[in-house]
Amino acid sequence: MTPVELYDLLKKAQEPKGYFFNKDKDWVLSILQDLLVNKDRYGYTSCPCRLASGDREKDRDIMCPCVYRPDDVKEYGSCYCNLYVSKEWNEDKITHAYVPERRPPGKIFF
Amino acid sequence: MSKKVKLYTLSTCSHCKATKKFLNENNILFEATDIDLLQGKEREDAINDVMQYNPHRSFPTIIIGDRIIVGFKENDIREALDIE
Repeated sequence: MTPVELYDLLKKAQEPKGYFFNKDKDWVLSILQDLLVNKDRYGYTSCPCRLASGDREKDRDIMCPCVYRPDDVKEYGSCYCNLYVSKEWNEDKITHAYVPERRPPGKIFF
Repeated sequence: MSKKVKLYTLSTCSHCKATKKFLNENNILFEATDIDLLQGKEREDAINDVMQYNPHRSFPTIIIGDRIIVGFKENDIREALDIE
């Protein structure tokens, strides 16, 4: 699969849920490319912005879309990677603030 | 004298790539370690290093002189490097 194919597939699935791709398409395609790198490397789509342990069970919370996305998009208008954002974020109606890591340190295994 | 710039990064991380691009565009010399590409003891040692600076072990972890910046926070990086 190519990043563009993944883009089309995910866009269709995620937009109805209220999660939009960042309007910077180059940024998005680069992340999707890295998501495919992780799929090859680990066997699952681990978040490219986080260090994966390589153990599917331990990384379950950071498989894209991660379990932190709803809270991050609600609070900051964007997920940790700036991949999925809200409509308001894309329309510059809210500040593009830095999204801090929400994953509890206790869940991080390397 | 210019400050030493050290980055702990992931080869797949968008914010890490943006940080490297920003530094390159501003002609700042830096040393970067892509931790996801390391294995075994080398990887373990690098993770322990990151923990000293950033207990959350998130990326990029940026060390500029004695200042630690977590994430691609452009304004903080500019300030630490004294660039406009």
